Amino acid sequence: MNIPPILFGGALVPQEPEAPSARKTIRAGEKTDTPWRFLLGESAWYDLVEQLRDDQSTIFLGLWCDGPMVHALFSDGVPGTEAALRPLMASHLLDGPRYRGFSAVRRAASPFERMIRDLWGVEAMDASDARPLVDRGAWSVTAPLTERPPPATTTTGMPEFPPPDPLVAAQGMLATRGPATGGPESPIHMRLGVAEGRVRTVDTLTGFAHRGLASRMAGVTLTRATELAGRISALSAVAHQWAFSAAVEKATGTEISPAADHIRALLCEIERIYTHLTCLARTARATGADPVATRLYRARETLSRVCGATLGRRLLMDCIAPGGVTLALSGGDLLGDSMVLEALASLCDEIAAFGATDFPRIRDCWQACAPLSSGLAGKGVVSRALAADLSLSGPVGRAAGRGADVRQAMDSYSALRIRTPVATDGDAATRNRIRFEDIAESLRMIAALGDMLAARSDAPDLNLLAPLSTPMDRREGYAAVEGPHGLICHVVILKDGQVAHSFIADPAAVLQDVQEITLSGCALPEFDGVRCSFGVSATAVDL
Amino acid sequence: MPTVLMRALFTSLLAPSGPALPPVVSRTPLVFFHVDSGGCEACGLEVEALMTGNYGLAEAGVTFADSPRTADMLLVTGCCSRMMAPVVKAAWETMPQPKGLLAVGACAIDGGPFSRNYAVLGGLQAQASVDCAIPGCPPSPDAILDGIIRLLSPTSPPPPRVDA
Repeated sequence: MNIPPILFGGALVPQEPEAPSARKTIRAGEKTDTPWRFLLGESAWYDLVEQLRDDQSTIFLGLWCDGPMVHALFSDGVPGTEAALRPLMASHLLDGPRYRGFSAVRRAASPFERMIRDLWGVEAMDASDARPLVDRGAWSVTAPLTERPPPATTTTGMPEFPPPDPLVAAQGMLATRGPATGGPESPIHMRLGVAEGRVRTVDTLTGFAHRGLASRMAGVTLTRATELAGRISALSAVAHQWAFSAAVEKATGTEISPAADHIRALLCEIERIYTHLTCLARTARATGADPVATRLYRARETLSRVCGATLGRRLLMDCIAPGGVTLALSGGDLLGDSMVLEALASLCDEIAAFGATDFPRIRDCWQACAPLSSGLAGKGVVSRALAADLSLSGPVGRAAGRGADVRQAMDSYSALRIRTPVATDGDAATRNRIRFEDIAESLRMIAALGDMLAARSDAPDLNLLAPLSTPMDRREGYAAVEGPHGLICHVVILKDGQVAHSFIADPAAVLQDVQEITLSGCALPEFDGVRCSFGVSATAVDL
Repeated sequence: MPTVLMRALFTSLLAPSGPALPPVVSRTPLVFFHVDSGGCEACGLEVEALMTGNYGLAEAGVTFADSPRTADMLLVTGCCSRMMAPVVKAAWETMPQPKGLLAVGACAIDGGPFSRNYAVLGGLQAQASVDCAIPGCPPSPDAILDGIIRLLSPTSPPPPRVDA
């Protein structure tokens, strides 16, 4: 006899068997020495890809290859909402030169898959984009990171674009940008198909600035790898060196002092201001607003000079190393820790003075300039759906309604109140506004950090550079930092006291795709201004 | 008679096979064409700072062009990737004679942190004859300006010349 259940106080919710989630599939894999990395077999890897289709809470962060294996890094939840990063890495032993790719279910995986194909000759099946990313046939070998790379076939000069769109071919014209523009940007080649007054297609050739960082950062000492991490992209050098150093510290279990942590945050905020000023100045110049561009460039120069005078470095490269910060003041001599703090406190005061006087004037100037404030409104719109699909962060993501900010969850910023500016319009004008608000926020944080460092300068033992033990066994570490353009993530594998592999995820690669999609539909005269509002640096795409 | 012609006359009469004299007419305005041949962009940022940061470059008669067709000097930053090498070469061949080559930053000189590999040629030193090399990673705008001034003025000691 079938007795119906007795209900107390309401309807019984039928308990459906829980759908297998991506994170459960990863966790069900074979355990490794690293608690957040699991080995997945062929079928589990396929299941993972299928489950990711419906599972929007598992955020894709990066996909890399080290020869025998491919590794995919995910975060359980959007990094920066509750926790900095809850990493889950799935590793899959390759059986032959192909694997099931993620780009069909996670568009952000596309540049990683293209990079793996170019460097290792390993294809992603079901890939959404089959174009090469960096190998355009100019290298000495193909698949250079494989054990025995085959020599490249000789090509004639410059790489070529595919045939243009039929409408452009019939009645439009082709315009090009780069690779040598005479300007300071990293080399990138764009071909614009213009028809009926609008840019219909944007084809981009990347790879001009590829230096082979994946191979250069493998099998090298920590010092050398740190130096290279600072040269991934000069506009986010601090963020990359910080992420790399933090990943090494996590792998070796090194604790760094709170003072060093605050100095890192301070340097990162200075870099954010510098990068935003650069992007805004380039946007102003591309839009034809030269007086505003001049003011922005002068402000950036003031910032560089102040940094140069106090820290001995105009661009803040090589200030951060695993274990803490290396700050040689005014020349090559490493000074006492308390003197470093005093100098940094005075640096903060000078930057705060800029924030109080020059910055509001520049902002007013920008708003008063019609081509910049209203001319860019409604141009180059990144839809909320696209931003969510690619889990965009940074100014581009924040202008399209994505408020995740990994600083909210980082220890270095725990003593500060962070108000992340968010807007929903997603157009070029909004991105620029977010950059201005970001600068204002960074200026406020720098003032607060300056007070904290000044209060700390009497402390007896600051220990700005903690000694680092380099273990001989295999260790793995990860770190995520909010760089000027968005979330920067590093995974470091140490072995025999050296860096065996270093996996880098920079937002530029995804932003490059977004830029390509979004710029179609722009009028040709507006194209450069809208493009600059993304702030994509080709050097960070090419690695 | 203008001084230029007087001097030309004396030169042709008195020293037909002697050493070349410094030019009578100033080479200013000197026009640069900047090419980033693939690096981390830091040297490019410092060149940008030099152009825009109130260093008095325009007053000194130094300008930057959008096209190599009108340029006197090719300013190269970056480690010269194999993909950029044809671009640098094309820019060089487009420039009118006489022309010069300026390598800014450690990368542009010998590759710096990015030595020769499958994708990178490793600087201009091994590829071409460089008229002026400005070291640094990255060099400050003052250092770049100093190099340009030494290149221009005949009285100051000549800039370091790097030959292939």
